[in-house]
Amino acid sequence: MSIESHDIAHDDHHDHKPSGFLDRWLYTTNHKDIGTLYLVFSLLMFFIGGSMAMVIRAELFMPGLQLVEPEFFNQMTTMHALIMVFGAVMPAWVGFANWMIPMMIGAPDMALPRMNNWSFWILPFAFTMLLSTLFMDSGGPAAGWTLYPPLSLQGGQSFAFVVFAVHMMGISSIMGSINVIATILNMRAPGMTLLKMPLFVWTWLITAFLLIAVMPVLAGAVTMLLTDHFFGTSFFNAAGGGDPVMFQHIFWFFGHPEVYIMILPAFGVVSEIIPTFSRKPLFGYTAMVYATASIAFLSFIVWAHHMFTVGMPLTGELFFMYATMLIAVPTGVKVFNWVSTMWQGSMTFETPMLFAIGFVVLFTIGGLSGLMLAMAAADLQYHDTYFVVAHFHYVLVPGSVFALMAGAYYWLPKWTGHMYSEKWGKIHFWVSAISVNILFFPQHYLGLAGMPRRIPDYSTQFADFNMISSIGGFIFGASQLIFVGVIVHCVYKSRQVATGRVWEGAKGLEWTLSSPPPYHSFNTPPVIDSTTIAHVEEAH
Amino acid sequence: MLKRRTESGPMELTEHDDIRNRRKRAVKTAWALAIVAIMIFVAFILSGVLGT
Ligand code: HEM
Ligand SMILES: [Cu+2]
Repeated sequence: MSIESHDIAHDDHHDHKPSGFLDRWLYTTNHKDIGTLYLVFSLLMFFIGGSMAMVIRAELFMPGLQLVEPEFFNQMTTMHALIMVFGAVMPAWVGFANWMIPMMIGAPDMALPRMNNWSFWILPFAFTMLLSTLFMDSGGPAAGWTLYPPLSLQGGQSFAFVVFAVHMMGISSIMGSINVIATILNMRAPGMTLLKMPLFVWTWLITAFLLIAVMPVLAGAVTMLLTDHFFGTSFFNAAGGGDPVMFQHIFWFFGHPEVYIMILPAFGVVSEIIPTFSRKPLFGYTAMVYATASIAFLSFIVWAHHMFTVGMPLTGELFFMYATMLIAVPTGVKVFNWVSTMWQGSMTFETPMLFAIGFVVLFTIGGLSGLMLAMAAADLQYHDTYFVVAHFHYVLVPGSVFALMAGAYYWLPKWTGHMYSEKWGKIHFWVSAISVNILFFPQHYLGLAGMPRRIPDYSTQFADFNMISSIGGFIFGASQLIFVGVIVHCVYKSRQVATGRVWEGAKGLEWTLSSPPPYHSFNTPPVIDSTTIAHVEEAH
Repeated sequence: MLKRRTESGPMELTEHDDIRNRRKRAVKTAWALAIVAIMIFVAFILSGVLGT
């Protein structure tokens, strides 16, 4: 067999999946199956975390304490965030990485397939353990996802399980990122140079470096909490000579890059989708790569913008304020490039494109409220209010989560070989896009008026906006069931067969494969030429 | 080694492109990254130990 034969037909010859259920899923080393496992797992976590959000919004529907004990309320806010961040958004991106990166760079699989299996299968154990704390005597963690001492150390024995769960999530993420980097650096098809890679691959490469740099920091931080709690050390215990503010520095040295870990792959997906449905190559491809790298770099030197109120020296406040504002520059470059890609394109508005455009508009609102928070003087008022809650939910829900939805609709036909229902996809988009604003926009006003975050009860002047927000929340929550319906229909019922290319304007190696792609693809590396690369203007 | 056609003329595939060598390099990359991760973990805890 000559190396030139890169036909799909060739790959089909050994398209045998393991037959037993355990062989197929538990012992799998196949990047597509592991990708599916990650995606299904994250969807499940999305609903578990989402139901906790429903508890929170139900309690906040009216002033006064009605449904749950305050202590349980605090467990809900803490668990909701931990599950959404580490169980839903991050694993979903790893799922996309698994499915798409090998197909996008012309590799047969991830570089380290057996480690890949481990990275995934750690997660169900980690989250079972985390969730089990809710049933223990001392209950789940209740000090917020930021786990600030001394409060986080005042819980009971179950805290050990939380720490161990965080360790396992960290190990899973680190192994996943090592795999991503090793794959991208070593497994690209000959001719797929770095600057020919699709933007999704680039954003993930940079994200993986962020993960390797900061997950060990989080692991270190929770380890020190563990020893402070159980073994009498005083890392953060002021009575023993420790420093609780030190924890905040360490946590946010992890925490701020972490928020970019959740958003950079989203930038990547949106940069794949907008060109396809604008039928134009991405505007400013290299600028996008550099912007991503700059954002990643800057994300390491802005952490203390989460701590403007702890009493830093003025020079510290100023440094972190200006460094934070600098991030708006590369972020602005990105938004500009997405808009310019659409400019004068022959646009169509299929569901993935709707979610991508929704992302550009609504993520930008979150970016702008971020800039307001970045002003140290103003943040003294905004900090720990619902304004912060509104900010990060705008960047995370119609930001990261919309990009996840966009990517899911975009590649679902590729993954399953069937078209999803465009009608229901559009309904899902419009109901989500409207309700997400009803849910989060009023929270800006609540914050500006002084409503603190993480409280189960509030003064009556906040009643109206809270009720509106809760109604939006219930609609948003319910509308995600449409998404499940669309997926189930697409996988099991849809009879509309997807072509290999799926979308008229789609470019990139993944679209040269059949839909669904063979179980083992690109065993022979594909030939790279400009007609298959997304961001190269076709020669006319 | 084998040649393959590309847009910019035939491209020589070398030992470097051989899948076995690439897998070896991938394992090396992985170990290097793992060591970096462990060092960061240890460094942050040490900073806490030495700092107090
Ligand atoms: C233009 C870019 C951004 C700027 C200038 C910015 C600025 C800030 C600032 C100053 C805070 C602290 C507010 C406070 O606690 O008083 C904050 C909080 C937060 N931001 Fe951003 N942000 C940006 C983008 C993002 C993105 C892209 C994400 C995630 C995808 C994100 C997620 C968060 C989260 C989760 C918090 C709250 C953490 C917590 O206290 O629990 N931000 N942001
Ligand atoms: Cu931040």
